[in-house]
Amino acid sequence: MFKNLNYAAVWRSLDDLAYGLGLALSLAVISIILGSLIGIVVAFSLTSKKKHLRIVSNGYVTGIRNIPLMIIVLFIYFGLPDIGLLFGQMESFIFALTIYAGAYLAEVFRGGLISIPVGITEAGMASGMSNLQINMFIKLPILLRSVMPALSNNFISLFKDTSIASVIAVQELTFQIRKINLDTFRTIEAWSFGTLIYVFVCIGIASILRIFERRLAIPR
Amino acid sequence: MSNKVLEICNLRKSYGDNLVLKGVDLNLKQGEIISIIGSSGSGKTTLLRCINLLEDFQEGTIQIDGKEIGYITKNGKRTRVNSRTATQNRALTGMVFQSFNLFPHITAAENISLALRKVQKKSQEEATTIAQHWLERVGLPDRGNSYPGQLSGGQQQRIAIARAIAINPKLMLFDEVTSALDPELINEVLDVIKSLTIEGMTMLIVTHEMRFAYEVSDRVIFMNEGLIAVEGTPDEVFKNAHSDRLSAFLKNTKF
Amino acid sequence: MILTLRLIEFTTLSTLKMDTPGYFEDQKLQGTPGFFSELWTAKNGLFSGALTAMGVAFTAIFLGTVLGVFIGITLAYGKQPGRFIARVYTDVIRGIPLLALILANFYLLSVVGVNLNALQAGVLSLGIFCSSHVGEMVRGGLQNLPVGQTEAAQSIGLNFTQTFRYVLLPQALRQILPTWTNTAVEIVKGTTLISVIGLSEIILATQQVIARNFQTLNFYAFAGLIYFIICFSIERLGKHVEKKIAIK
Repeated sequence: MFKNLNYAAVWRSLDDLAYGLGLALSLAVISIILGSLIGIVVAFSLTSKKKHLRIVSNGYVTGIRNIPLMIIVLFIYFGLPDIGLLFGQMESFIFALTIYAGAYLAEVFRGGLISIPVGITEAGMASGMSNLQINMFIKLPILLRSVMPALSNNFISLFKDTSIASVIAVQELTFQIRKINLDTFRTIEAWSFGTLIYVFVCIGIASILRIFERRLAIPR
Repeated sequence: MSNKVLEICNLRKSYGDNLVLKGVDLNLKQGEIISIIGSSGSGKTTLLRCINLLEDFQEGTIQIDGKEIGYITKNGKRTRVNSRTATQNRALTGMVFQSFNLFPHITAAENISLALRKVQKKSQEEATTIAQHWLERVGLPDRGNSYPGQLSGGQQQRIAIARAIAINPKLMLFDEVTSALDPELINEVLDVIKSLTIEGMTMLIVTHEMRFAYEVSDRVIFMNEGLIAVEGTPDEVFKNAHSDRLSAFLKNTKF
Repeated sequence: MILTLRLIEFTTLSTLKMDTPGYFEDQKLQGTPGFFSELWTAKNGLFSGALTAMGVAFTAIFLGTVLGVFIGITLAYGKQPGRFIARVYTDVIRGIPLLALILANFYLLSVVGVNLNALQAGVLSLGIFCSSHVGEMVRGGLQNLPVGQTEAAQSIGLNFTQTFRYVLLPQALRQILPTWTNTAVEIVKGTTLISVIGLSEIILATQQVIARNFQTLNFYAFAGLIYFIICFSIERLGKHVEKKIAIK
C-alpha cells in the first residue's frame, strides 16, 4: 500500500491548497477582528451594573456557545432567505463565524475585565474620570494586553473552524483537500499532506503569537 | 544495635555547580532533640531534605538506626537505591513542612490515617483509632472530620505534625514549621512540639524561633554556608557564643 | 428594523398555519401547514436523529476520556519513547480541524480496507479528538499540582502508585472538571459534522424534513434549539457536579 504513494498530484495542486489556506486564514482574521469588536462590547455588557444589559448579553453568549457552528452557518445561508436575507456563501460564513467568535471572545474579554484589580478603577474614579473615560483609557489598554494568550488560542480555534465553510462550498483548505481527493483518488497523499499543513500552520501561528505576546506584555 | 538514631558522615550536596552542603557530620542519639539555626541559604533545609531522600546527595553517607539509606556502594561503585527502597527509607522519618502540605481533598483524620492503612496495611478500625489518638495529642480531638480548607494555619500544621508522627518514625524532621504562620498561631504549634518531646521521639528541628530552640533542645547547631559552624548545648550556643558569625546572626534575631 | 418585523411576521404566520408571504418572487407558497403540525409529522425522524447524535457523542466521550487519561498520565510521568509518541499524537490531533479529522479518517480507512460505516467512523473520529484534548487536560492538571503534595505523600512512605491514586489524581480530576465539561459539549456539537459523511443525525434529519416542507428557517432554528437544550443541560449538570465534589 505504501509503495504506491505518488505525491505528484498533490504538488500539482499546491496552488489550490495555497489559495485554500490563504482563504482560511483570511476568514479567521476577519472573524477575530469583527468578533473582538462584538466581544469587547458584550464583555462590558456582561459586567455592567445594568441588569437588562447583563441579561441580554448573557443570553447571547450562552445561546451561541451551545449551538454548533454548522447549524448557525446553515441557518444563515439556507434559512435566512425565508425572510428575505440573501447572503452569498462567503458572506454567510463570515457572518456566522463572527457571531460565533463574538460569543467566545466575550467570555475571554470578560475574564480579562474582571481580573483588573478594583483599585485601579477606583484610582481613576478618584481622579474624577467619567465611567466612559475609565473604560477607554484605563481598562481597555490593560485588557488588551492581558487577554493576548487567550486571543491566540481562540484565533487558532477559529482557523480550524473555517473548515466548516467547506460544507457550503467555500473553497478553503478542507474543501481543496477534498477536491484533490475526489479528483485524483490519491486519498492517502492528499489527506496526509493536508492535515500536516493544518498542524504546521497551527504550530506556526502559536509560535508567532507567543513572540508577539512577549513583546507587548506589560513589563514586570 | 546502635544507640545512634541518625549518623551523617561528610555529607556533600551540589545543585549543579553550586556546592550547598560542604561536608556535614552529625550524630543523634535516641530521644535527643537538636535544633538547627542559621541564615537562609546556609543549607539547613537542604540537610533535612537529604535525610528523607527528597534530595540527592553526591558524597557522604546517612545512616538511620545503623542502616545506610539512599545509596548502595557495591564493588566501589555508588548507586542510588531503587524507588521501592527509597520509599521504605522515607517511612523511617517523619517530616513536617513549612507549607503544611496537607491533602486538601480528604479530612484531617483521613490525612493522618492514609499512610497507616496503605503503607502499614493496618485495618480501617486500627488506623482510625491511632489517628484519633494523635488528634487528641495535638489538641484537636473533634476536628477529625474537618477538611484542611476549614482549618486555620495553626490547626493545619498541628494536623501535619500528627500525620508525620502517626507513622511511628525513628526520627522526626521539622522544617521551619512556624515560618508560614500568623504570629498569634505560632505558639499553639510550638507547644505541641514541646509536648511531644515527652514521648521520647528523636527530633531534628530547623527553626527561626530562637527562644523555642533554647527551651526545647538538648543540643543546638548553627549552620553557616553549608557547614556546621557551631555545635553545643543551648547555653553554650546562645549565651556564650564565641564565633563571630554566630554572634552577628544572633544579634539580628530577637533573642 | 424591517428585518426584525419580517422575522416576527414570518414566525407567527408560519406557526399559525397561515400563508407566509414570499419575499422573493418564486416563494409564494399557498396553504402550507403551520410549523407545529409539520414538527409533529417530523417528530420521529428528528427524534431518532437526536438519539443517534447523542449515542455517538456519549460513546465517543466515554472512550475518548478513558484513553485520554492514559495519554495524560504518559505525558506527565511517562518515559521516552512513550511520552514522545503521546506528545506527537496530541499535537497532531489538536492541530487539525474536527471536520478534517472526520473526513480523513473516513476516506483513509476505506482506502486501507477497513470499512467502517458512517456511525463507526464518527465515533472513532470524535473519540480520537476527545482523547487528545483530555490527554492535554490531564497532563496540565497533574503538572499544576503543588510539588509539596507529592513530597508530603513521599514523606509518609507512599509509593508512586499510591501517591498517584490517593493524592494526585483526586485533586487533578477536580481541577479538570470544568474544562472536561467544555470538551464534552464540543463533542456533542461536533456530531453535526458527521452529517458530512452521511450519518443520519439531527442535521440530516432536519434537511430531510425541510426538503419536504420548505420551512427552512423554522427547522434549522429548531435544530439549533435541540442542540442548545442538550448542551445547556450538560453544562448545568457539570456545574452541579463541580459543586458537589468541590474541595471544601
